[in-house]
Amino acid sequence: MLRWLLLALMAVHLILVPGARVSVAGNCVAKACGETRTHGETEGQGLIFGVHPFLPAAELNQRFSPLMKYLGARIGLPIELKIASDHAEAVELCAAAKVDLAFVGPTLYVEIIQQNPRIVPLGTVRGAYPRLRGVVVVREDSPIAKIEDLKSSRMAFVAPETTAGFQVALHVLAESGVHPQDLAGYSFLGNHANVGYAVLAGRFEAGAMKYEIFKKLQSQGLRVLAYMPEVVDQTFLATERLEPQLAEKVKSILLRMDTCPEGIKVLAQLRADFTGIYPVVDADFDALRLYIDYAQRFLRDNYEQQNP
Amino acid sequence: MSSRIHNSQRVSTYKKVQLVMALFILGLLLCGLILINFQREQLLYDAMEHSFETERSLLANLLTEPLLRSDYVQVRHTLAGFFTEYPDYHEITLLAPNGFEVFRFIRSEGEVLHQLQAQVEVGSEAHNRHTLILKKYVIGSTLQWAQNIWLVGLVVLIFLAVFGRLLWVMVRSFGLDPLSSEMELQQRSYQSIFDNCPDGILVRDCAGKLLMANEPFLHMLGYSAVDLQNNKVQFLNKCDACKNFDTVLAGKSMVFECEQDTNMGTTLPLEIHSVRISFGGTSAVLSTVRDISQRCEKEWHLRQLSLVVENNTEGMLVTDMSGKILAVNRAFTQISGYTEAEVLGENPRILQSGLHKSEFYRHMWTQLLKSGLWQGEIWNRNKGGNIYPEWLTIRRLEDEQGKFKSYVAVFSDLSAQKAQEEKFTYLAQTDLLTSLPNQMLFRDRLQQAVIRADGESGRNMLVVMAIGLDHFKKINESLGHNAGDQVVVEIARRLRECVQETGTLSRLRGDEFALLLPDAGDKHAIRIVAEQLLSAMREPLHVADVDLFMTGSIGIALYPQDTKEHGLLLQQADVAMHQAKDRGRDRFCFFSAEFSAEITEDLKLEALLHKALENRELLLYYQPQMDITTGEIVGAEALLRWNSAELGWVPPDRMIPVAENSGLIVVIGTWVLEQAVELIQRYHIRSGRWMRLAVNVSAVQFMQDDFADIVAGVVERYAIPPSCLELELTESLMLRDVEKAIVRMKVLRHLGVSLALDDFGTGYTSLAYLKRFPIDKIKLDRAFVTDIHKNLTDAALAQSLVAFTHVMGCKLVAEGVEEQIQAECLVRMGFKYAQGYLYAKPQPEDEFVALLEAAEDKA
Repeated sequence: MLRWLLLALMAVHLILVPGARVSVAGNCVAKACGETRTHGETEGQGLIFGVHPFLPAAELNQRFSPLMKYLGARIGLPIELKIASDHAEAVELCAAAKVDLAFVGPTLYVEIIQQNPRIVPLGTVRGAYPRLRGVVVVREDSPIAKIEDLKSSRMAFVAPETTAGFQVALHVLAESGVHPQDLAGYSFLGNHANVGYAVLAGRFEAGAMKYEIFKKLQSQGLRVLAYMPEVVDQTFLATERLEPQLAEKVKSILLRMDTCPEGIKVLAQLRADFTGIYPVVDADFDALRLYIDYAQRFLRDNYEQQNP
Repeated sequence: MSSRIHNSQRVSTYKKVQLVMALFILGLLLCGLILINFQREQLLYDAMEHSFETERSLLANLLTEPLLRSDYVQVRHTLAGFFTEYPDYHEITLLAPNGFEVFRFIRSEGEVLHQLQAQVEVGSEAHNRHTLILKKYVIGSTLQWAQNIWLVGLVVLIFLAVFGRLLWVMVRSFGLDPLSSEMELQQRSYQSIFDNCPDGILVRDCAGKLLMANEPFLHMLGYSAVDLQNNKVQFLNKCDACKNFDTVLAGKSMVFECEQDTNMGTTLPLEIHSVRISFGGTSAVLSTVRDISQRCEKEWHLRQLSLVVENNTEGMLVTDMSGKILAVNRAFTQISGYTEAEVLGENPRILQSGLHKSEFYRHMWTQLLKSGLWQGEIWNRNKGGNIYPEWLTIRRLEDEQGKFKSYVAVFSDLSAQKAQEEKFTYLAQTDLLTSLPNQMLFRDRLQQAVIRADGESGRNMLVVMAIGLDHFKKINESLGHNAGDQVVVEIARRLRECVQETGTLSRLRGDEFALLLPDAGDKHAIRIVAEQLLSAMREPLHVADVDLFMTGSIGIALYPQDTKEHGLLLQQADVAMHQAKDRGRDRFCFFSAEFSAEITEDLKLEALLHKALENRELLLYYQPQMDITTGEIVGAEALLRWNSAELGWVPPDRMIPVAENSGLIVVIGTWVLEQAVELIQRYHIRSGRWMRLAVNVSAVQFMQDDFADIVAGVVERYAIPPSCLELELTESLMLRDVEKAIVRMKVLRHLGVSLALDDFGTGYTSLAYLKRFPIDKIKLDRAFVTDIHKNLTDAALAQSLVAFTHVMGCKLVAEGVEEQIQAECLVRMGFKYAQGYLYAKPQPEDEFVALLEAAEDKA
């Protein structure tokens, strides 16, 4: 009876979520059967690799497809790319182990592992900069010289769930005694570039963004008001859905990507400045947890979107 | 370099006007085009403005929402997409409210001359009001072209040039160009003169280099206009022409002739007129070049003709209309004896001989004036006074318009020709051996004498004598033709001496002469003349160391007694001569119509006899020869009969002489021989028995050198025993040439053929000859048989002949036995064989064969 009920639910899910049809089907059956996919059972069946939507889907597909082929060739299994439609789905996919592997931002990792401690981090990327770094920027000609001057100013953030785009930035403001309610206003603009352009356009006196984006827009007239503390960058994780041995194998492959030309090439396609994937442990995210926690508390208490 | 003529001043003005007109028209065209273009552009501009407004509104709307969200990434994406989709947008700039250039898309730096530009406020709220600057190309704008002014200018110039030229051509072709007609006409006139001048025209600079030349010149030398332009025309490059060129340059015009090598490899004689001119502001040499090939050729021909005239063997003189001598040639001087200086200006009548009457000259001039030509023989007198004949041709000369100009007389001295003619006439009318007139001349004189005789009312008798030498053939045969000629010459001399000038003595042929006595008198006088002639011929001749005694026979015909036709006189005299010969020769005979008739009949008979053989009119009759002791037929004599379709049966004594005289006897004799031999063969085939046949042989036949061969051939062909054939020979035949006859008889005897002596007793055979003749049989002539029973002489002869033949071992046959008493007498005398009507008459072959068979059966 329970089995038929789950099947019905899966059918509804398939109808409502077409992209999940194939990937969910086997998983639902497996779950309904109370079984985890073992290595022996996954032979001939592919893996699902989830990605959070930090870029447009087409671009994510273009960047991650080579990695799928690379990994799939080495583990002997096809790997299907699954792009989450939003932050929530990304959490859902990983927390619910709807994917075998995933590539998430640091904030997302924290949220995921909070929901599903069985998530295993496999490695974190390293680019031009070893860790994720954010900055608080102002126009070059802005009179604002320090964080403290941001009071009564309007500030642009990327999104509440973004690490450098909000959470760490809030910590930086808080350390300088500037709280969001001290600001004249703030808004979430969706992506780091928008923050930069908005600041340049004078719509906001300051903004929080990733350092990489600042570097692109610096020539147009941005200035760093303050640097944020570095945190772990985007991370590869494995869910409990993936057999541990296979997860280890994937981890091993990821960590050795920078040792072969093909792997280097795949990394560069992920992001041009990626130099490799390095080991990471959950403890590496502890500082970020604090920043996230502060931000969540702020949002929970005083979240509102302003349009300066 | 061009061969066209330039009228510089007028052409210059004309060209300026042309240019101005062309520019004016082109300017109008350009203005029109620009106006049209502007109108078009205005319409385009309006459309573009409307489109621009729509587009900027669209863009503004697309940007409003992202800008409200400060989603500059979306804004950028939207602007980038729009910029890509609308390539006619030169620049899109988005400025933030604070003036920050958020985005700028630009296609190319630099100022665009013509564009649509708009500045749009995007954003719904003041703090969000961005400025969107749009710049759009105005496509197809003329001003846009101005950006590439040099390209535009080039296009315009090309367009102006092409279209202007076309327009100008149209204007000129329709005659709308007010200035072109006169100038063009003049230009064409000069060009036409230049190109159509029959002479070549060329201009050279001081260095001799060709500057221009017309088509006739180029064609003359075989060059083309391209060769002229490429300076390939070589003209007067020889050194001897250089002096003339320098002279012309010095200012003196020159006319000279020279030869020029052409491009075709030939050499042309040219006449060149050169003069210095001013050409294009500098000195140059203008030359007209004329091809004088034809003139040179004509001059050459004239020289040739002059040489021909001068060296002609015929005399030539030219007079004017009045008859004054204008020119003579060398032959005239040679013939007439007058020099050119002596006759120039004189009239040709100085040559008149006086032999011609005035009527002659009148007729000459009349014909000359009428037809422009007179030709004929004329006798003139030369400077030495000698008269000579000439063949003169006078022709009137006229010019191309038919106007009379002069007379030309061409004459040749006929003296030599006359002499030649006389010589030919002499040769044609004279017997070369005796120098007597020949038959042709004799006949002519005879004809003239007859005419004169008729004209004199026939009072005088015209006598024609035909004189023939007797036995002359023997002279030729025995002494040779040279001796014969000497005899003829001597006889001719003697006869001429007798005749002298009284008549015309002529040698007709061979040994025959003819004498015409136009005034002989009576018959007595004629006889005297004939006797004189005979007497003259009788005198001994000494020729080839031999003394000859000749005689002659003379036949005399009288006109008009014997005939009124002069053509028959000589013939009748000839007939009379033959009659004289028949009568014994050495005599004269007057023409006898009867004898003439005989001769005529003989000729007729001869003609029929010629056809008798082929018409199968000749037959053989056979008369048996009997053994009168036993009554057996021992043989037969083949007798020739002629059953003429026209004359009926012709007697043998009439036919045989004609055949012998005509020579037909040979053919007939051979035919008789073959017929007889064939009968022997056929009878043998039929009966198995051989018969003996005797065939008469004529003297003519016997004397043929191949007679024995003919007999042998016939015998062999029919394969009969030769002894079955008997040849009957007459005494007279064998006595003609006894020795030859004996030899021939021996040959025939050797063949096996029997020989019989026919008509024995009628000839002059001596016993000595008789004993030498190899004969098998003697046939006693009928003359001795007819009266054998009553004539002792005949009987004695017959008797002795029996004894003789018995001794000689030859048979004896009596001919013409017609009576029994004759037969009995013959038997008593010892005759064994006989032939005659008593036993059998001559009968046709079938009757004879039947008789033979009957006799055989009886036996």
